[in-house]
Amino acid sequence: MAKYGVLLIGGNRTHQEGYGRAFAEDPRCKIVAVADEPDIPEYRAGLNRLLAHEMGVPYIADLETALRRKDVDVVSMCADVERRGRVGVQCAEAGKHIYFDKPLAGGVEDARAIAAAVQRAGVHSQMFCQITTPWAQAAKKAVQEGKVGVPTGFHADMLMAKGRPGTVGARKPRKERSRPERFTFVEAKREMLDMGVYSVSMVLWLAGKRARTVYATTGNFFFAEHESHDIEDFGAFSLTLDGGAIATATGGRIGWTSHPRGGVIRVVVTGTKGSAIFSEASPRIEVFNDEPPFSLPRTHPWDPMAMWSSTMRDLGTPGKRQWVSMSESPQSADTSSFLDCLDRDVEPEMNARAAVEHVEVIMAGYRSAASGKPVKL
Amino acid sequence: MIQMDPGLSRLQESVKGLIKQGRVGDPAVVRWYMRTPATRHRTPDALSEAMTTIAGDWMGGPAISANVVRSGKELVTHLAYGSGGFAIVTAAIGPGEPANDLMVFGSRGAIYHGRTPEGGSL
Repeated sequence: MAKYGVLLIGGNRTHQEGYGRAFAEDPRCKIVAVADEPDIPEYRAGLNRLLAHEMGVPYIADLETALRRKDVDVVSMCADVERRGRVGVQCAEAGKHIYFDKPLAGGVEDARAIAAAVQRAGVHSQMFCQITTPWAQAAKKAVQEGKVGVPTGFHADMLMAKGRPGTVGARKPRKERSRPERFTFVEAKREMLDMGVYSVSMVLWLAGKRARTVYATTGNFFFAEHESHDIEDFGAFSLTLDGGAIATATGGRIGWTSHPRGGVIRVVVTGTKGSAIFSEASPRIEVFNDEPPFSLPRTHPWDPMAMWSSTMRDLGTPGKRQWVSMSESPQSADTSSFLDCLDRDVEPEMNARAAVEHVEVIMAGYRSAASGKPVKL
Repeated sequence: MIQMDPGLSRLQESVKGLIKQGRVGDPAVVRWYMRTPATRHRTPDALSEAMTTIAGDWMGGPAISANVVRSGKELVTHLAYGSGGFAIVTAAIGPGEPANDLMVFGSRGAIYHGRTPEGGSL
């Protein structure tokens, strides 16, 4: 019998497509229902119902009712970034353990409110990121064992190779907003937040230090979709950390044909004795054969950046087949790690409290990109 | 300015040639990490200067602003160009295997070059 009843918040065209199925595949879990707030737009409610239907569970259109259920132990939370503060607090106050989509929230106040509610409730929390992957664990071990000596730098990249590149208009310097308020659009997302959170969380976790200063730049280099909403498709950070080390982190989307696999997902760790690269693409198997080479797939009108597996499935988008991974999916590794922590009643490393700092760094990054100056934290 | 390494000059010209041919569209971002052994004349600042000059050559001109952070013999120069593009150039001097890891992202494609010791996976 399953040990944990799991409630899914959010549906298709959110990362719940992956997290929900990863929880469902774990024998410790039973998916109880899909739920969301009652006053969400009809298109979102429809996509939530679709995931519930695909997973064979009911859809509960009133989150409060769903959270009152005694058979819900864990909430997998994929509300839109703009609603995460409110929904995250509500889940914690209901006494449920929470698995958060990344980033924790779209603002520092919301992120802090979530972390405070989680602490008050005494529940466990974890935000999805890359730290439970085998390559990230190898990097952490190398740092802890002094393989590169005393660490001096951490340099992480999360650059997603999806979307049709070359559609942006004439290049011009981007004028960034110091306080972005909207992050989620149907066609695109703010990539320095959405992708940058992976690399920022990676460098801070590896360093085990807090960021002291943040310098960042953003740009519109590849996609008309981002340009049309005046949001960046690429961002980069330079950080100084407590203790003297430095870090850089990139987050962006570079287009389908800019990488032989899913994208550049890696970290370079440097130190007084040497440096080493740890990558999602390593180890890998490379296949060269007479299959047709990968070519630009059709663009889904509701998902031109190819963010969701459901739209790729609907279009029959072929995968890139030349580089073959030797690891399980990062989502399965991460949800499994969260459940291990619940089994042992220990706090996950990437909990809500830790994830607050990512939001602080990224929001400081937007202020820096707007002003052209480093920002002290 | 350090004496330009012949390998570095070849890299500069090769990448520049690809950019000129339009193979990756308009160059947008340079992400470059390089680590070399210590020599009497080589400092992180000098290595960074050489890399920054080359990055500017690829990006179509010198940067209009730069932010520098350093830790020991490692130096990151984060450059912004008038075109709106940027570069993150990391120069490190120290022991261990040399590393040269370059990525250039253009509006329609990417250039990858280099070798950094692999840390492996668990």
